[in-house]
Amino acid sequence: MSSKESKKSILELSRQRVVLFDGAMGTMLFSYGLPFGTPPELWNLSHPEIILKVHQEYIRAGADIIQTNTFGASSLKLKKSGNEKKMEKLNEAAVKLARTACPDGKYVAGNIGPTGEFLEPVGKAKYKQLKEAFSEQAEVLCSAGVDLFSIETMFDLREALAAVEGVRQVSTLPLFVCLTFEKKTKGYFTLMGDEVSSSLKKLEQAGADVVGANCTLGSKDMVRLASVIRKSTKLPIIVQPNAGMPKLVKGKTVYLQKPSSFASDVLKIVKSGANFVGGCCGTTPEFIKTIKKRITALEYKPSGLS
Amino acid sequence: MEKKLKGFLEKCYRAVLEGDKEKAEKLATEAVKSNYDPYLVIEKGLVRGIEKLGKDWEQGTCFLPELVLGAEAVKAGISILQEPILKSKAGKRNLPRVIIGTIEGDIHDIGKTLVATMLSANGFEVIDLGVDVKSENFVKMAKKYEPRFLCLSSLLTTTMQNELRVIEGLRKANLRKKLKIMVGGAPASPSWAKEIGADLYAENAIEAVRIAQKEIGHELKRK
Repeated sequence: MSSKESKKSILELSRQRVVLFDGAMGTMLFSYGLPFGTPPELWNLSHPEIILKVHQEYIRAGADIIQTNTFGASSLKLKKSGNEKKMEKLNEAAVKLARTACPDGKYVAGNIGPTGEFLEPVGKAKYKQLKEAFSEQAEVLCSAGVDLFSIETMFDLREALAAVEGVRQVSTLPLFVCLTFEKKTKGYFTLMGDEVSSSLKKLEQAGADVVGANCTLGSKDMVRLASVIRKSTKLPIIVQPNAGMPKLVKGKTVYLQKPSSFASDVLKIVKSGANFVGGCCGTTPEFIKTIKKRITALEYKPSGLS
Repeated sequence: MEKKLKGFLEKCYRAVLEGDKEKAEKLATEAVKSNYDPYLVIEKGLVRGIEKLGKDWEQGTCFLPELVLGAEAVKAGISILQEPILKSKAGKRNLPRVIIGTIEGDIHDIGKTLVATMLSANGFEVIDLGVDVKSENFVKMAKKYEPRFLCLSSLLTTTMQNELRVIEGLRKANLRKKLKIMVGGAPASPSWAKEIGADLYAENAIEAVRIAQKEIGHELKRK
């Protein structure tokens, strides 16, 4: 890709074609021997060669955007394992590794996940406290050199808003936010009961550039949710399903969904108007490669933006 | 039932639906002062409220915040209403005891805590060992407290195998037959329960209560 295209904003690129995120990080790290119970972010310092390798595999598979291994690297989340003092170092190292793997024309997303705290009154956390933790993490990611932010797997709209506001305090970079929805009898809702359309509007008002959903649902359910999301907003949208539910077969974790059936669903998601797609839990470079092939073959016409 | 009492029970029920802990506490105090039958207030007032929320939650018409706040209101009310119960003869009736925890290597908290909360809101005595609980610790606590149920929660397919170690540990300590083991969490299933030799599987917190009640054979709810 030319250096001119590398400077192109990711949002601009999405007006021309579907943009592909990477797949799961945790799934890959477990396959490389991450012990259960160890926060994956610690490997940014202890096993940098493996993190780098995962990023490179996703780049080779055709991902346009790779996400830093910082999903649980907010100080509040790290505190649960007693690692909060490493917040800065873990985030810096993560960006460095992603940048090393990222060629010209591809992008590094600073990944931010939930703190694991519940806001009052269900839990004890205060909005301001979450916002500060997110802002602090975003500042490190930003100065270490990410191209965009990707906030993911938010099960509480209020926490997602705290993250968007926190990021916006320190950066004007493109900002992606995914809530995670469950399928209920009356539609799709977050764990805390936030409904799709009004939630996405509030995220937009708070300063998100791209909104959507990831995790919880497999690709089949995500196809239906994608069309609900498309109808709910004029912003570009992002959808990242899981590779179905994990099953334990003879002592090993197996995701039964095959890359080809996953990619077929992702194609339907694209046809219903998703501008950014990728994979969540259980997806591997093989999934991303298969999607890439199918998307490239598809004559793509941007929707929802014309 | 006299009209006044009926109205009072309705107020308790409403306080739970509204997730109003303070109101539940106020009503419980009033019930103690007025010498209302504490069991009646718990079962026909507070617990009826949490049962309604539980049903709505299962049907997807109410969500985690309502359920948690409702359960907190019930717990607050019960702790006040229990004082006279514990002083009376009826208090000698032991509450069925449950030990619960998330399995070693897994720090998922939400589902496990919800099950613990719902069980205690439904009249069980719950000892919550927290998350990442070592297999030996489950066995040690089971020996010490002799619970009717041991509930094991797992959210990771990779660590759920530690549940097998708990069950083996209980067997070695001759405790296995003294309690029922219930498993739950996203990757668990009835076939998983069978595979590891657990007694029970619950799909969610409400079902856990239902199954535990069925097992002990006395519904706390008076029909």
